[in-house]
Amino acid sequence: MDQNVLKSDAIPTADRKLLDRVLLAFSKMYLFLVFAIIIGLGAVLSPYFLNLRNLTNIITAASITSVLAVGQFFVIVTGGIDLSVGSLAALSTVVSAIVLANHYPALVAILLTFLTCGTVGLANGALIVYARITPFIATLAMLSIVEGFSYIIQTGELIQISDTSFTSLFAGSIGPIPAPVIIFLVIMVAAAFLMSNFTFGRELYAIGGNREAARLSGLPINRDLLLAYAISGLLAGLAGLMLASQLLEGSSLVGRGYELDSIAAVVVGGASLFGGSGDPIRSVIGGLIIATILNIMNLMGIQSQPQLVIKGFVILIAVFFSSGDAPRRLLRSLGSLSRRRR
Amino acid sequence: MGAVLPSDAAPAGEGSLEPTLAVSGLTKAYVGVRALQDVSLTFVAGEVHAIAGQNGAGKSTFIRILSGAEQPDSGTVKVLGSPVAFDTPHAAQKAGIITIYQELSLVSGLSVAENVFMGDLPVKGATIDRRRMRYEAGRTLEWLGFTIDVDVSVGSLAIAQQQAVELAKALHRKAKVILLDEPTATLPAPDVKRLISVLKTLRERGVAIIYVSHRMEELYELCDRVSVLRDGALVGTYDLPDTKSSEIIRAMIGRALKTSLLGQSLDESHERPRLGTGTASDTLLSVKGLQDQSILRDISFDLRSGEVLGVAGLVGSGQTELAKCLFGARERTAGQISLGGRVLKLDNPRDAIRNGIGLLPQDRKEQGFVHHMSVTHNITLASLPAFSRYTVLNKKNERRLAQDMIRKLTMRSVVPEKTVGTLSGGTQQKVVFAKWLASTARILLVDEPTRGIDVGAKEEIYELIARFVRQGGSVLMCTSELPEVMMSDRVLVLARGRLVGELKHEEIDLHGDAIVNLFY
Repeated sequence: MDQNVLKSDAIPTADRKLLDRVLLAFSKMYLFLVFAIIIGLGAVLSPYFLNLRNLTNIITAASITSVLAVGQFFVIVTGGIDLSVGSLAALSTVVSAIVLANHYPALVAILLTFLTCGTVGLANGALIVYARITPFIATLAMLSIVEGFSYIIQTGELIQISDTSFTSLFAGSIGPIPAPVIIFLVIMVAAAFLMSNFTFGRELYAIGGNREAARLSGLPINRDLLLAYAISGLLAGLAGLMLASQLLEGSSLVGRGYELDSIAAVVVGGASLFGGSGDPIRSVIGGLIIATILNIMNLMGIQSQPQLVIKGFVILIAVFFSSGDAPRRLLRSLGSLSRRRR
Repeated sequence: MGAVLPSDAAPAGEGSLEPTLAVSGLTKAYVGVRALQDVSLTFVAGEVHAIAGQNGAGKSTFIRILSGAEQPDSGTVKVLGSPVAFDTPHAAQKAGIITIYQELSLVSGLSVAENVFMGDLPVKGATIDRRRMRYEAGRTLEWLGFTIDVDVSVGSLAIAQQQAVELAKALHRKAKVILLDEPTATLPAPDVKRLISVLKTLRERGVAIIYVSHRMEELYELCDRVSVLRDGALVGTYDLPDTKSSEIIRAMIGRALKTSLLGQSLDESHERPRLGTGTASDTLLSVKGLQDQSILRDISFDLRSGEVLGVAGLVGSGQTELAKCLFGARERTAGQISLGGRVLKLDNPRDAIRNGIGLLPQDRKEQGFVHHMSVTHNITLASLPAFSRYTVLNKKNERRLAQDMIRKLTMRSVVPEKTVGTLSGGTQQKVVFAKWLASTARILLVDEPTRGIDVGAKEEIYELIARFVRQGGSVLMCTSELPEVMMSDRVLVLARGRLVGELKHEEIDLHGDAIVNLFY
């Protein structure tokens, strides 16, 4: 820390300000650059990749993960984690399917689903804020509770969804653009705006960055944490509505794995699990990077098991490079190794 | 088996000509700061040798080097006459130098016996020889005067008992030298007595004990000699109990600076530098009968508007706790705080900030600012409502304010977008200061405002405090730095959590003896 200050003191002030700006801009653009490189790679590796249909496929498939990733980001930026989002999305499919099966209008189904999922999210927050249970444990327990509860109210069988006004809302398309894509873009932009232009967003960064400093600056920490988990719950509910519309059914099992996909997206997007960094747009890009790589592998005919292995490595590499300090540390330790040899 | 008997713990033995441990010319510098400068000391078997000094005097660096956690830039360490070089804590332990830190290094989930034998479990065949382990651990502890069930987990023990386990572990490793870093900081009084008697037993058995502490009573009760460090250098080594405590405290604190502060000269003929205006008027903040659950007892005083009120005392006398209580960041068990005649609740920092109180915490990095956030965002953090409308932030105003603060507080070559974590300590402190200026605080509680800040930046911080008061603010300045507290309009002296005296600026002599005399 002090080292940097001393080193850069040697540079004239005007140049230094410019250098600071350039470095800042690069650290913000870095992820987009990687995304562009991967798209370029896809175009080279497969002639079908840049096909409009294929691109639409990638982005539609990634839309549910993207919505969940945005919700997950609100929690991760505070230094927490929400493992219950996958099971909440499944609960959302079950609740909406049951309401629709009882011939209520789509709007009622949507409102009831949001109410349910928002409440569960708030419950997560309450467990963490008031009962002081660590986020990992609280949401892990909630995952189990919610999944079991969904299964019970689903009474065993899948519930078909036949209400077209409901399904076209979340799985249809407006003109050439699929509805899920519109939904996740709207959510992403709104979340990005909330994080960068509202006091709530600023407070979340501060809480995740240094909780004690945030407390001593008088920020409403409990309220903000409750809200963050409630937002994560609501967005999991939305993801569930999209899922239900795609599958045309409600099932307690469809959410499995989504929690990890959403966490991977946020982390590949450059957010630290300790909190205080990242943003919703980069979290979505993180998810898109993973989805694009999987798509390229599909086009190249790579089997799904090797795909999983490669996906794991992609996460590791992305996190290594986005965690700022890591590459420098690696260089330093390599340097000291060679010094020791001598 | 006999190897773990405490009586064999000190092969150095009496009559050995070489000192058990000798360091010479130890020097260590961190970027910009000389943490340790040419320190030479010898430690002999059967002696308790205290290392004393203020915070930042170099005690921790000294410990880290002897424990192998860090290497000195230059200087040698000899054990029983032969030079050693530790590049890991393990190497230091193998050489028989065992360090016991304030945060004990026990594994709380494992049993007492397992902890004593940690890293060196006795085996019989392919399995752990539990019987021997339990027997020997129990015997060592008993010898130390503790009867502890060796099968219970360490986490369930009281701190004093855990320390006994640490000592047993040190003995098991055939410690020649045991280094204790402020072992009594977290101990209740009866346990302190017990620890001291245990250490006396160890001394008799020929272990060299290095005892790092700034508690005078303990030094007199336990130690044979005390070496005082100040600003990284050795001031002197004094025999105990023949040296007066005033002399030792003087050595720790040093004479008040002869050099100028705030550009004012400092000799008998001139007035000493003063941060306040000296024209304080009516009472602003009034504290009555304040107590907390640990150290503060029955504290009452008034802070007048337009004054700098210093709170002096040795480290650990309750200054930090007092500042935190007044900021609502620490629970009070009794006492009333009123502002302009109105009683405040002050049960959280939010309430304090709403009433125009700000805190510059001692530990900036942990409590003062958010490392990854920009200068702008840190400056507006305590006044977000003022920079937003319907909770939408007005970023243009934020940026304008940050630029304003950067100029006014002379944060050279800082852009508003810069991450605070990359700035120097002095500039970071200015950012925290700017945060409270932005929140239009009228009262600033500053706790060790210049800790970890280089000399040039120190003067700038003083200038900021002086300017804040000139513009109508009031400051409560808690500090263990004598020259610093002497610049206040009035000085309150804290000792062991109680107010023991009050001095006006005029009553303070050139060297601060009037203040120091109240410390003990």
